[in-house]
Amino acid sequence: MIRVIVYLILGLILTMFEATFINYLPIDFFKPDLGIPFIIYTTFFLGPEAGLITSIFIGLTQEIVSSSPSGSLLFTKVSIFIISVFMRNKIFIDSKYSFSFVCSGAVLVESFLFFALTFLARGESRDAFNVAFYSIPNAIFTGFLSIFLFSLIGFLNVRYLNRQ
Amino acid sequence: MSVTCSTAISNRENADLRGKLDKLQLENQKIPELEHENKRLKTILNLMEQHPKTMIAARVIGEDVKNWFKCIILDKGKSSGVTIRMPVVTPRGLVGQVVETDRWVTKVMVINDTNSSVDIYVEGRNTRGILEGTGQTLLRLKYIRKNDEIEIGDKLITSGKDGIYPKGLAIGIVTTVNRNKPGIFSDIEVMPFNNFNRLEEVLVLRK
Repeated sequence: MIRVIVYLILGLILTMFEATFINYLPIDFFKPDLGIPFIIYTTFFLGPEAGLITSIFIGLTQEIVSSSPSGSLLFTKVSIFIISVFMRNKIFIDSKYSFSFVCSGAVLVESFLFFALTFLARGESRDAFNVAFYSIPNAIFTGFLSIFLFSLIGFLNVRYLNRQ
Repeated sequence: MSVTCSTAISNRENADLRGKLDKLQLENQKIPELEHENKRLKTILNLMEQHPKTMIAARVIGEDVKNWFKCIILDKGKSSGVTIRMPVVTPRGLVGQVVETDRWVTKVMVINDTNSSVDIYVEGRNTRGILEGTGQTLLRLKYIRKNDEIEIGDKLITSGKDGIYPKGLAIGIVTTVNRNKPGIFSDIEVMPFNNFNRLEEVLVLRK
C-alpha cells in the first residue's frame, strides 16, 4: 500500500509540476502525459486496485488543471486502466524500453478515445483536429520520459520501498 | 617569513575579492530581467489607473496540462471578485475569457482555443467577422466575404456584439488573406498581439 501511495503522490506532483512550471519551456508541441506511466506501472506491477486508485486520482487532478469538458479526462484515464487490466496477461513489460513502448501506446489510445468522444459529444468536435495533430508528438515524448520514470521507480524500489 | 605571511594574506584577500566579484556578476545578470518585469508591471499599473475599480490584476500560475486545449490558470478567484465570462486582457490586447472559477484560482480560455469565438471589427473599415481559435498560434477569421474590405496588416478589434468582450479591445493583425478559394468567404489568418505562451500578468475586466 505504501508503494501505491508513493507512486500516486509522485504522479500527482509531476502532473502539477507539468501544469505550473513546464509552461516556461517551449514544449507546447509535444506535451507529455506524466500520469499515464504511473497508471500503467501500478496496474501492471501492483494490481488492478492500485491501478484504479491511481487512474481516478490522476484523472481528477488533470481535470483540475485542464479546461477539457468535465469528466472527459477522468473517463480516458479510467479507460486506459481498464484496457491495461485486460492487457496485463498479454503484454510483458520486462525492461524500461518495453514500458516506454506501452506508455506511448497508451497515450495514442487516450488520444483516440478523446477523438471518439469529440465526435460522439455534439458541439465538441472542433477539438478533433487538435487532438489528432498532437497525438503522435505527445506519445513519442511521453514514451521518452517514461524510460526515465521507470528507472526512477526502479531506483525507489531498490533503495527504499523493497525494505519493508 | 614576513614575505610568506603577506603573500598568504594577499591570496586570501584575492580569493575573497573573487568571491565578491562572482556574487556581483550574478546579481548583475538579474538586472535586465528585473528591468523587464518593472516595465511590464508599470504598463499594467498605468492601464489599471486609467480604469480604476474595473480591473483585477492577476498572475498566470499555470497552463492547461494538455496541449489539446489552450487555457491558462490565474492566481485570483471568486474571493477577488472574478466570475465566469469576464474578459481577460493585457496592455497588448485580448487574452480570453474566464470559463471556470474557484475560490482562489481561475481558468481562462485563451482566444486560440478551438472552442473560442470573438465577434470583431476590422479597424478603420466597415468589415465585421468572427475570429476563431485553431489550437495553433494563428487565429482564423471567418465569414468575411470576398468583396469585403480587408488587407494584410489590418488591425482587428472586438465589436462588443458577442456579449462577452467589450468594444474596442485590440486582438491581432491580419497576416494572410486568401480570396482564391471556392465559396463566398475569404480565408484569413490573424496573428494575435499577445504571445500566449509568455503571459505573466493579466487583467480581468469586471462587467
